[in-house]
Amino acid sequence: MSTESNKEFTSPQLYLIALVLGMIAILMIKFSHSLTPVAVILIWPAFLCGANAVRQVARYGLGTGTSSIGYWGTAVGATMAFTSQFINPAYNFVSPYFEIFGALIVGAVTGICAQKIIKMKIPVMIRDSAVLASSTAIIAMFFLAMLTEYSAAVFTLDAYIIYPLIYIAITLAILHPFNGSMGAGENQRRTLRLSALEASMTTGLFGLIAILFSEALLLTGVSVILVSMAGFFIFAKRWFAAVKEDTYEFAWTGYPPAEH
Amino acid sequence: MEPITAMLAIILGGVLVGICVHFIPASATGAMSAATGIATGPSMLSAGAGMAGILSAAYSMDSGLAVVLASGASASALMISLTILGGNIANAFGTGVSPASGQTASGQSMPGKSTKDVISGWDQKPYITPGTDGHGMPVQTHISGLIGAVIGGTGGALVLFAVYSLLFPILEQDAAFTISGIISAGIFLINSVLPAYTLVGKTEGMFDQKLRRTPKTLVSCLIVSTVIAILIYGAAVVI
Repeated sequence: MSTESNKEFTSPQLYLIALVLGMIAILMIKFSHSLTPVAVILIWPAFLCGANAVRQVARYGLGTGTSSIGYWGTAVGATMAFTSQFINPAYNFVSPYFEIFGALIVGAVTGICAQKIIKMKIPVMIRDSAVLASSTAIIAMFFLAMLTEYSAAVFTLDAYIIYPLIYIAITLAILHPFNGSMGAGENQRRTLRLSALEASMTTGLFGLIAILFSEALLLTGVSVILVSMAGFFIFAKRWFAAVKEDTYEFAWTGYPPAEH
Repeated sequence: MEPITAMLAIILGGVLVGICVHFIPASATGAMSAATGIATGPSMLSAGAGMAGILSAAYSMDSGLAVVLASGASASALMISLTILGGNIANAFGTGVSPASGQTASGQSMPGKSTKDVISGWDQKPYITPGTDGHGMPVQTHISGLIGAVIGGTGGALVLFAVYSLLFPILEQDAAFTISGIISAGIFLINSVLPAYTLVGKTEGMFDQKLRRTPKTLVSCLIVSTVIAILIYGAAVVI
């Protein structure tokens, strides 16, 4: 375990990956909606980045629950993503940059308030609040793009009925990996593997939503579900292997040493 | 409502939401009847009350601002009141403890060294279980929760009305309703988590010493709400 802690990804590393791949994913769909199954894979790192940001701030003991910080992060990210719906179509080129960097700013300002005014003394508060808010905005923008904006047969405004679902689904996928792995033996590897698993589940869910949403999105939905299922089985296996490996370190689990 | 007024209303609503959290009694250890307050985190509880207020306010959107605010405030207050009633029933008939304020019993609440409930006048000290910091929600805590819910519900409804005013001219009515609802819920959640940082997971409401920390919350929520309001205004009006 001590060697693993040295190999941890830092928040800026994960954010850089999530931002670049997330932007590519959103722009890929903007370019051609048929690229959605590939773009889905590129959005998974944003889930990992968000879950890691929750982990970074929540393990200091926030005074509020892990669920609250997850809801807060998505509240910033998704709220900024939903503002894209007000933007005049003539200025559509500002999306997704306006929403993602807007969320980054709101996240950073909240972190600064928490650090400087409320005096929380959490060294990563500003950085990870910004990262958390921005990564949820990337995910929300991706789902909006996948389900609505760039499909010929679906108008952007139809998306409003799925806003609450987008909000809650992202929240759960962001906050649960750390909550589900919490305890004395929590480590980044297991948390991020659980996050990847939940990311694939979430994109799979939105594949199903796409099928129900419009006939024009049938192929997109089916292909997204297939890619997400493949991801789910791979990540579930990897996560379960990590769980077993970590569990063996505790003698009281009852696993015979021969199985190790 | 003019766009600039709507922006100012979003800021004011956000600040009201932040203040309301200090009034709503909540404590995670309340789940084990080990502290006074509703058994959950302050931010989640306030957000729950706020959602109830926003939902109710949405039904009266065509009746003008005053009715929207009253509707939001009353629905939030009703939600908190019923939650407190449910919590007290569980405490009294499930756990077997009577509602009592831990801080008042120890003479450390805002009104001073008195160990009596400010409103009912009942002494709290004899009802405290040893080893706990109170349990349930006595009368003064209940009233504090109601005041907090009225403030929060008003704030949430104000944000809803303001965002709806910004969206109504540019979107269909159904879309404007739904998007205003989800955005006002988002703003509620953003502003209800900041006070939770100052409350450190537990408060007995307006008679708790932590009420003195409200100015920090007020300034933080003012700054964050201003940034959000400017971004929303920019998206809806400027671009």
